Amino acid sequence: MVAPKPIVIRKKRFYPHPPEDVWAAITDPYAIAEWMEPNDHQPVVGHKFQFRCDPGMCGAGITECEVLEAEPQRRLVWSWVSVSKDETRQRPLPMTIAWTLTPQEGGTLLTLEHSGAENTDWLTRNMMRVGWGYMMKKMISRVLTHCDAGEFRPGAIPLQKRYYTCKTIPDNYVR
Amino acid sequence: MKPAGPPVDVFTAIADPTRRALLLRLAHEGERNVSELLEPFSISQPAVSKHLRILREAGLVRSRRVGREKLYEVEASRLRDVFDWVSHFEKYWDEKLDALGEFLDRKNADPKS
Repeated sequence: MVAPKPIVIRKKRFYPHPPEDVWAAITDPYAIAEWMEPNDHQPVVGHKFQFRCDPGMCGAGITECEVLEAEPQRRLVWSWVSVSKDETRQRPLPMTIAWTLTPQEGGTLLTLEHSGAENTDWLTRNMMRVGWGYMMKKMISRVLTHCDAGEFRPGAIPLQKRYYTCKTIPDNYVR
Repeated sequence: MKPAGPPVDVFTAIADPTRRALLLRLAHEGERNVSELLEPFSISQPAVSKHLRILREAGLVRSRRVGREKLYEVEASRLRDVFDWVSHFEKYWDEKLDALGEFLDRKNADPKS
């Protein structure tokens, strides 16, 4: 079989916040839980972590990740595998989510590069394309209003306003 | 060309994460009724029904009645049109942004040009 053509989803957004706050918004597990899903993230290279939500809404509800790069306030890279609900199905090839922070006058430019996007079906890929855009535009902006001096203060997006539910999520995942 | 116009804007319809999750589920699992779709949610049936109505008005799902229940299904061809358009549009802008970035880099390296 011919390998599919690589597909990279790119998004950029400028935030009027210093890199330390943007770094907190994309690394603090409490912050990530607000704009994304419950997780056990730590910005430490080699750390294996998961995004979890109740199965059904998001396939099996499990995304297995590993921190591939973590350079504070500059760059964070995750490997990303959505676990299939159907356990008999072959495990999908990993995708890579790379965040790059560039300090600019009056704020920070956040760049997302989601590569390996050819490893998922076209609908999921396009939903993720739209999803990242929405997260960067709306959700991360909102989380940043609760970041100050590199610290995130939970409560920017209340639990009941999030799209996921947490009925089956173990306690060790931050929500 | 932007896909032609049902009353609800498709981008508004797919911006919402609950509606995206609903669409993905319907696409992956086929026809479902509201109570099946409700299963993993903590939100109410009226809320899910409202999301489904928005998706239907955007032309992204269709429904049919079978006896007493209503079954929902994705409009696959319409979804494809929408995303073909989105990716075309994004590619255009990505290329423009890359070109602008390169231009600015050159300008910074050699301020006289």
